Amino acid sequence: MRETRIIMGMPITVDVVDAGFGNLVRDAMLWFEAVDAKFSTYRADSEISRFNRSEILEASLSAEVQEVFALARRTQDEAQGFFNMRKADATVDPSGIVKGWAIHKGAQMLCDGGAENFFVDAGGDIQTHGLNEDGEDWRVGIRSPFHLSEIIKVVAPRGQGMATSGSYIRGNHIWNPHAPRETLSDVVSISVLGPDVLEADRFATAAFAMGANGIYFIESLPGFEAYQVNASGVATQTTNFGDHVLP
Amino acid sequence: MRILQRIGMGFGAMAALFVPQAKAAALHDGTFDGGTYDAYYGPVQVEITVQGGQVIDAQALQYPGHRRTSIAINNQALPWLKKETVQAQSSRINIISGATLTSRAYIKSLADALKASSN
Repeated sequence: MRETRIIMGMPITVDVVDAGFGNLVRDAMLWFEAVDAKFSTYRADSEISRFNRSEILEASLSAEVQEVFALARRTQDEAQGFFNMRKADATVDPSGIVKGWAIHKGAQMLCDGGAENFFVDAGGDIQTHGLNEDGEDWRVGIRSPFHLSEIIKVVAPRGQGMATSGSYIRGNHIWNPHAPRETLSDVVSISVLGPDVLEADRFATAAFAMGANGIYFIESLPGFEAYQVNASGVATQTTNFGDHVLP
Repeated sequence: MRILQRIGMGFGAMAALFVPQAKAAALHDGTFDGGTYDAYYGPVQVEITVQGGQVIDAQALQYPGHRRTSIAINNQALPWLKKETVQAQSSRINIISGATLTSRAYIKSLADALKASSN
């Protein structure tokens, strides 16, 4: 049973190989819709929007929002300041962390419901569990930052989470909104494998913001591996990334 | 084995979501820019090109990058890490990991551009 919906502005796919979990797949989709309703900065009636208009005090926020805020603060510390949910205008946007958190919780929901073999994919951030329908490791392709129809690496997360953070490339140029006339010459994407998708997503976002140093940051984290691609098409990988690469 | 055919489901899919509605409004030929919206990591602005009443292209004029501040990592004694030139792979896959190309800021700006072309 596989279902894809556009939620939170991106395609979200839940695929359970085991038979008889249709209701669970639908429940997972409802979970993502509930997350969107609570966390969207694009909805005036979301809890985040109401908090940003000072209509709710921090102490009165729901348990879910408090949990995400705590995660955002922890990420800011662990990522040496390269992640901050507080924007320049003093409002809060935890979007950078909500996606990984929502996938992680959605996957836990599937596990708790008895599903063994599945994946959850939200906009290219992935949690796999068990095996694919051929009874082998799930095969995740890393998309080329240069040609969107190409895959540049095939990876088996084997129950770990995987997330990619990157820039959009127009022709041969990477757009830098802070210096529109300059062409960046460094990292265009970094794909991170971590203990679960929430961890992978938190550190992929931070590592990408670090530029060329991001891969060394991931190398320094126990339990994480990464594949980083620069603008000239050269990839750098962490020491044990190769253990996850499939032919 | 199912091989997912979701490559390119980014801008293309988002444009496809909006184009059918916009066709009813009769688009004028030309190039139209949407508004600039904040997508947290930076501004997003979309430009569409209409030819023969149909959208033939949608490009991001601005797209978010990431904040860069000083790097706190100690650059001394960095470990040696394996490098390679990226190469297209032809083996089968179940899922694709890539930077998310879709965002609400993109959709809003795209909707603006379509509206501009039908005025």
